[in-house]
Amino acid sequence: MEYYFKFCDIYVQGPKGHITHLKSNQIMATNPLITLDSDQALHQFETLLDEPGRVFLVVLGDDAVHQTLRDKALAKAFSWRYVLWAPQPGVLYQRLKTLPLRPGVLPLLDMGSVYGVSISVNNHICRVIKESNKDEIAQAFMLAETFMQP
Amino acid sequence: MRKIFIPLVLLSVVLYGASCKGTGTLAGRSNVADTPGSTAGVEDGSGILDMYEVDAGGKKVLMTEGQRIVDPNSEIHIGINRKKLSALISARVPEDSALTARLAGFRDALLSEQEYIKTLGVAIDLYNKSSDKSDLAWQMQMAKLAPVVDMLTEDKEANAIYNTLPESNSLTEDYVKVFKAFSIQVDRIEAEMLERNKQKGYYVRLGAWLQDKNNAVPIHIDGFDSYTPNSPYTVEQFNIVLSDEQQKLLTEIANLADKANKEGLAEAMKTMVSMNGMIQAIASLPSYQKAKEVEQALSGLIAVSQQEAEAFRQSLERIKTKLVVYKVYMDTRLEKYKNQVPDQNPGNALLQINADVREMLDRTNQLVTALQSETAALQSQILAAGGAIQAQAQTLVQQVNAFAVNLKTDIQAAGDRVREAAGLFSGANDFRTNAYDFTEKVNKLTLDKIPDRALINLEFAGKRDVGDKLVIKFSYGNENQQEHVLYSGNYHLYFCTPYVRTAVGFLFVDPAPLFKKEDSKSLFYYAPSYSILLKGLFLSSEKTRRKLSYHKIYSPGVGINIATLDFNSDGSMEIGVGGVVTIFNDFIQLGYGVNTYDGKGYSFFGFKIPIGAFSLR
Repeated sequence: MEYYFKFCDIYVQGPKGHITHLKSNQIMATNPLITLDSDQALHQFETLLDEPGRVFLVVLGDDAVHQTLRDKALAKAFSWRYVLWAPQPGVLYQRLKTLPLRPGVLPLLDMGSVYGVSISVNNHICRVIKESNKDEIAQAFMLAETFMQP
Repeated sequence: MRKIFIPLVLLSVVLYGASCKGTGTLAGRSNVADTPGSTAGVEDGSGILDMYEVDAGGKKVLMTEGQRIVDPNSEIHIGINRKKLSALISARVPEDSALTARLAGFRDALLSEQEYIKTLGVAIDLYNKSSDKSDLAWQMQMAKLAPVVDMLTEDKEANAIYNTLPESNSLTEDYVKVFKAFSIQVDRIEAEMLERNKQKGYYVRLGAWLQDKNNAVPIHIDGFDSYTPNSPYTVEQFNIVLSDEQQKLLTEIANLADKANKEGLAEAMKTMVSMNGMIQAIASLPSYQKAKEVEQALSGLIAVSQQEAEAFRQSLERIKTKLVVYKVYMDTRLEKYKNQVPDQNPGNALLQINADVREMLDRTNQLVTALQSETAALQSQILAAGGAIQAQAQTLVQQVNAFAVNLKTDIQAAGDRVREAAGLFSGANDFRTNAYDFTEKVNKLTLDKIPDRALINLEFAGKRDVGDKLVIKFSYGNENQQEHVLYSGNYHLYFCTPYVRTAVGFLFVDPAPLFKKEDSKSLFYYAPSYSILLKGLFLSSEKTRRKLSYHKIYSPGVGINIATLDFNSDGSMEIGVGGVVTIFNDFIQLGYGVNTYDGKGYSFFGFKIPIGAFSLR
């Protein structure tokens, strides 16, 4: 299968030559960063979790690694994808530990080693990011946006 | 006369139907038996072989499932995908099951790639159009992509590949990358399997045979065997000359018509039923006639070796005994057919013929095996036998071996001919069970030595004609494992564009005025005739490649009919010329003509009566 771009449209050519046109309005600008202020972080977080139809990638910290992760995640924050940045993540830890887990995701124990997590529309933690690898972000988003609560 | 005509028509239709069944089947080998030849013939449909045909006009036709016909002058190009082949081999090896399962998973995902990407597009559209973000219709679409995301995250290697690909800049690209990673992973696993299977010594063999009425002859495939290509031979697309066989049939029809005109048709038909062809074929085999010669040579050597080593003499005696027993059996069998009165029940006769042929082949094979074994033992005893008869014994061994090989080939061929004739009537399926076995001339190619493409050029396949068959077989194995047939295709050779053929026929001629019987004469005159027919008119080139029944059963034709008549019964020949349409492979012929001698018109219908069917052709 081949993909090619014409202006802002994407065309997908299948193995039998069939071309699927992904409309230009499907290629969207990225969503803005949502920063969780330190004093209101938990409240903000709860409010956002209640927002329907959103997939989150929560960056937990303010080190250089976190900042890199945040920027890279922001570049992928299309459509339903949102990046939440908690420079002071401590207040969120307890709440995060209470969120249900996607099958296969290990429980959050040592939060210090966690750079971020992805959360599905049903508020399940779908990926725990412990590396800043760029494609960890894509996979974290993909795992969250394809997960439906059983 | 009408009383005779109706049963004759029924008999003809039955015989023809049986002949169609009989010629369209192959030996009790389920994966060979007339299955449509194509890549779909590969057992799991995994596309190991891709095949296309280039006909005499240079037209390239992709060979797909359902194609059963190829042009008799075409080239068949076969591409072999080594990695897929290796994957299929691995799929049958228990220790490779985990690797095979992984490969299957990635392949399945890739097969649905387009669907997945479309689903993503639908999800994005739904999301964008929805004003109510609590409507999770988009998410239900996205959930359909979960299996591929799971596969990516769970397979460490695929995950690592994903991470090496250039960074994506859109949601769609994130998923496109997943499939790119899968594609690379499939290549890697296939390469790994290929390497493993090379180490295990797996090989493949590809062979092709041209099957005519009598024999299956191997066709050379460059790079795959050491057969010598035949001289170029082109099947005439526009042939207006009667073949030798047709000329012979025309003579027989003329004799039958003459006899029918004089004695009545029923009497004449009795002469058709004869089984002496079997006797003629076997008794006249050059190799069989050599049996006596070999026996005499053995007797001579035994006589002079009385004083030689006992073991040597005993070996000679055993060979002679086996030969004599075999010859007695064969002579008895031949004698039986010489004296046999044609059975009134054709079914019984056919069963008996088939049983006899089977036994004859078994006995011959047993003899050949025994002779080869004895001569091998004899080789070591020749030295012990002493110098005086060494040279004579060496010659004898060579003679016996040559006799054994020739006899086996000849008897097999004779058996095939007998069964072919019998099969015309019985529709039996269990003929030629060994015809498509690979010989030692077909190379065993290890997986790294397989050429990417194979070419079967029918022009170099030897003399052939429409109606013959092309059989292609592809198998794999290793020294520790039985060879498996991976693909076998059975294609019938017919022109896929209009062509001209001749046909002979036994005509029932009704002179004008039609259906008015003259005094003291029968309604019909009987006449031999031949027709020049244009065929292949009614189907497109694509359809004609798929409709075997069109060629094998219906095969309609239109053309000119020429008949030899004798309306005034003066014994001198009159020529009739007319238009004819034929159906059922020219078995039924209808037309109207004019007697060129007296200008009298006549209508006619005719049959391609299989006069020679009981004899061996």
